[in-house]
Amino acid sequence: MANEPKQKKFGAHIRALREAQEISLRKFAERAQISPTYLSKVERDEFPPPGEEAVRRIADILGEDPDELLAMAGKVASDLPGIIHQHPRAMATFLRAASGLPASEIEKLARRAEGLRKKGPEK
Amino acid sequence: MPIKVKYLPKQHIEWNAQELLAEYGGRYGEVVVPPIPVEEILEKHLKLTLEIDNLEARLGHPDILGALWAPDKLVAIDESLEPTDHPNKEGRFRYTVGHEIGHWVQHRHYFLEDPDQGLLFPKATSKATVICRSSQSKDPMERQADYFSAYLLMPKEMVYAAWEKHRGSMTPYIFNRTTRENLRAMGFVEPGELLASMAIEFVAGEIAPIFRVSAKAMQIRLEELKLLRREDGSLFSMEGVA
Repeated sequence: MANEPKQKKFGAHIRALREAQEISLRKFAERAQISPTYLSKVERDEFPPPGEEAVRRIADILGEDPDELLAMAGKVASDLPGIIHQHPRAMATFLRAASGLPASEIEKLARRAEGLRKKGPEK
Repeated sequence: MPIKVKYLPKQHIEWNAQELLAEYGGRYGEVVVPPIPVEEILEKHLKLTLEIDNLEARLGHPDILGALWAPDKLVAIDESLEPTDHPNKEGRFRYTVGHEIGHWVQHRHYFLEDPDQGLLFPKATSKATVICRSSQSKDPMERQADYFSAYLLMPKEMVYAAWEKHRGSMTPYIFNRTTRENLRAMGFVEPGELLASMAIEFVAGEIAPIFRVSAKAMQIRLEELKLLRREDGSLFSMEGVA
């Protein structure tokens, strides 16, 4: 029940976006590869959000960021636990340090990290 | 308590359906061949929300096929008709969608103060405006919605065109003594009335998939257009299709 507010937000959110983009329930369900009955229940928050792959397809159809939609669905992208486990101590320290920063500062840090990765490991 | 609605001649109901299809065509591209995109008309053109649900559990009555919450611009169809899960129910699903559109187009002003803007009932109302059950006796409002659905899903000109293309001419199929004797010669031994029903259902059943409607709905429409009949000219009513 702890996830209920997030689930409610997910169903209402995707229905609002779907209707704003004039995609019918059936067409949307086909593209998301789920049944229209199930989608309708998810949109009413009677059923929990679908699995990660379906949420990613939904994000793609709606032009939404998949990580944000996954978070709204109460899920974490499946690649993240593996990333943390590669360097558990350093990654946890990094995340705790970044926690609380504004999103724009976190994005700056991410761009800096991407730059470092492209350069390759220091000799 | 059924709502007392104004009498509508069938011709007016047909015009209502034709007008809606033309409006949809003006915005999304003319629909020139069947099947009619009935869900798109409901959701995209009329801006009604479509839900699929267990309506017995939701509304507390058995046999509910569809419901309209006019103030909420919401239509729900029973999940037992959903064609992805129940492919043999596609005709009934589409007919029920057309039926609820018929209520919205022709009857919403009985429920809304201003059909375009204002709401007679509070937005939060959870009471369905119209509940459509398969077992209920059809009052005039339900019959008007049935006719509307038939005219929307099976427009006259498209039915004529499909008939001619499929059967090779505009000649009606008439079940008469000659037809019966021909079928007898082919080995059919069923009693006359049953044989007539079987033959007529077979002919209707060949056209029905073109419109994605049930054979029964197609049969009633073809009989109304005088393309399908028995020698005695007996016609079936459109009641009880959905």
